[in-house]
Amino acid sequence: MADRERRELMSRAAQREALWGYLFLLPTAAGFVIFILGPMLGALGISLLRWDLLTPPRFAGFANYVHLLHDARLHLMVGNTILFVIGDVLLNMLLGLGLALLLRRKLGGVISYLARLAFFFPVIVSVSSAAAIWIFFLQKDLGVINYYLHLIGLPKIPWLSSSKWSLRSVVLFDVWKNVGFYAMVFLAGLHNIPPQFREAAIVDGANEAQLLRHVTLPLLTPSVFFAVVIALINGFQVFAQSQILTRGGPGDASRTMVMYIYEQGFRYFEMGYASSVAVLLFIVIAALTFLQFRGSRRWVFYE
Amino acid sequence: MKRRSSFLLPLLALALLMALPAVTAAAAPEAKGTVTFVFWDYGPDVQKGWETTLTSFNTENPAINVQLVGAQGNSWGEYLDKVATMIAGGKKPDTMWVATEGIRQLATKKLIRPIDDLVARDKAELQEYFNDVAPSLVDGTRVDGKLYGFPYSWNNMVIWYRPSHLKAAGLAAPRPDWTRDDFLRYAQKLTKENVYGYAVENAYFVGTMPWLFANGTSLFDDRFTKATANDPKVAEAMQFLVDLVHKYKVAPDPAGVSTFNMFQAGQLSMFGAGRWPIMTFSKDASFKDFDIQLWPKGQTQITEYGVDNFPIFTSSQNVEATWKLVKYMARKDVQAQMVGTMDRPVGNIPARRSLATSPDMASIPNYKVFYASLNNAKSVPAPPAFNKVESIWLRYVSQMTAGELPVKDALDKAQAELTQVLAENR
Repeated sequence: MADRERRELMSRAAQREALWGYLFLLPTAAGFVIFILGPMLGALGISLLRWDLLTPPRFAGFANYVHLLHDARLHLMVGNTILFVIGDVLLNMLLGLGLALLLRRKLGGVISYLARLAFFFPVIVSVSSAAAIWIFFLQKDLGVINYYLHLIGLPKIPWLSSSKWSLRSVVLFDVWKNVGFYAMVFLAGLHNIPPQFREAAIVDGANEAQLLRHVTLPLLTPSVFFAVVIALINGFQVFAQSQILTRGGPGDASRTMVMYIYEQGFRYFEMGYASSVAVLLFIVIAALTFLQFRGSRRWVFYE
Repeated sequence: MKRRSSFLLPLLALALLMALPAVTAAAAPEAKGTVTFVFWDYGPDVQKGWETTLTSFNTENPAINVQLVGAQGNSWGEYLDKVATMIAGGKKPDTMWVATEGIRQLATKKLIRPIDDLVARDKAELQEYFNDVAPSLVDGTRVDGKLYGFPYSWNNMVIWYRPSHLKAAGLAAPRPDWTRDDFLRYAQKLTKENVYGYAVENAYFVGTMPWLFANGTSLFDDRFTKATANDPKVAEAMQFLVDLVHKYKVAPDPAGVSTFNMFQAGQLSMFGAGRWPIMTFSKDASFKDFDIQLWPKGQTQITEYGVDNFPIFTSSQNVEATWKLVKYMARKDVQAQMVGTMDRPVGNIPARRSLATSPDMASIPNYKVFYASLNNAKSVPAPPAFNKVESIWLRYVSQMTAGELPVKDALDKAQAELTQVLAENR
């Protein structure tokens, strides 16, 4: 009898505890359901419709998905987005790592503080205002960069108006904007490496290059993994950068998948088709992230 | 099916609700209640401007409460998209500030109602207004013969120039009947190290249509039954713009160009716009070095204009009060607020002749060309799916002006896409 009572009491206590747990989870969970899961399922549903927002939707089956396969503009933009992601992730990782290694060097307190601030500052500036300023740098005939190129006798580069350069300009801008964030991630990762590993290697006679290759980098892989995952997801969602810098042009040369979702959904009012492109983007990002997590077992080392 | 019925039920209730005031209104037109008014929120002072404009309306009509709702966007087209999204989200505005680009689109989707019945009812009261407005402006708010609003303000495309630059280059002020060859000669003489004669803009109303109009052509026929982007006259006009950048080098690469800044900084001697640059230029009281002239003549000298107004939404539950507001915006004392002062929401030209030609407009010396040009003017080509048309056109314009696609190829491709859009949105 007493046993049962105690068990009931325990379970009641456990229940209450669990209830509190769920209560504390509720704000985040509710936010996730309302703002992320709900719209995601909504997009999945809408992708099966023909809907112009203003007149009642019609069921379209998989017509939107069939159209995806034949839409040459979309294929170009998928290519653009992939090229952007490759350039953006590579440069952000390499430069971010380089900056982090530089910042780890013993700079004076104030200088190190100022350097971190300088690299991190673009991260907190809004994309649209920063991009609006970058237009003044990149404009072909009156821009700042070409002014200096011209001074040293180099030809003007059509940063914003040639299909060769416009996507590169967007990458350049995005790396300037975000490399500080990745540098900070790597810097935190570097600080987390216990000094004894380096010390032991130094005692064994390792030089700087060997230290980097065999001690620092392997122990930094968790940070690299985190940064690559984040950079990849952000990269696939690139929108405002090219929307403001190049307006996707010339033609579609720097138009990305999210820009196309915006154009189809909110300029053309093809909500069904826009949603199907969004679903495609979701699948691509989800698949790549899954592959990264699977692949990470081979190259990410936790001490 | 279940979803559908749950969707229909509130709609039915809404329809009943809408029918209710309509019935009472027919018995005794009484204007009271809330009127939701959507405006293009393109800057921080816009809402304040509209509030000021509506002050006396609120005093005169204490029973009507005007609710201002802003919608953002970089162009009339984008603003219109935001409003459509708003409507799809369940908001039911009574009226909105809308320009030519949107009227046909809203009317085709039957979102706004013709006002011919209301005009007929209050004919005597409105006669004075119609006497004071150019008929071509009123035509700009008609779709298929039906009237949807009263022109409030408008713009036509003129060439802005810096008189001091002209003087330094030994050029006289351009004459109203100057030709495209004159224009090119001006641009060439005005171009020097870090100063450009003109700026080509990858834009629809502003950048390309005026050149097409001046060449006696357009992107569509007048009734929007077919696209005419492959008209040789379109090709000739577009080639001229491409040549301004690449052959004559009198205009900078259009990507990333900001005309007002360049003009004020002295890097640009001429550019095309309506009256609106005055809003920016008047912020710097010392900057007076500007004047305007009609768009240079090609094969014709047809001026392009766009006009705005306040149509009444079909879904409006308060037509009488909205109609009162619509008539208020047509009044002379209200439109007068657009000239002389610069704190109002628009830097456009008032629709009324008496205001547009009054010396109050003299912040721009040659202001009289605005209204005078209406004798030979056509409204900006705005077919029902304007939003699609604009993006398609600008996509190809950017490739032409970048020199990446020969004009003829670009226009053939644009023609195919525009034809398809017209067919889909008939």
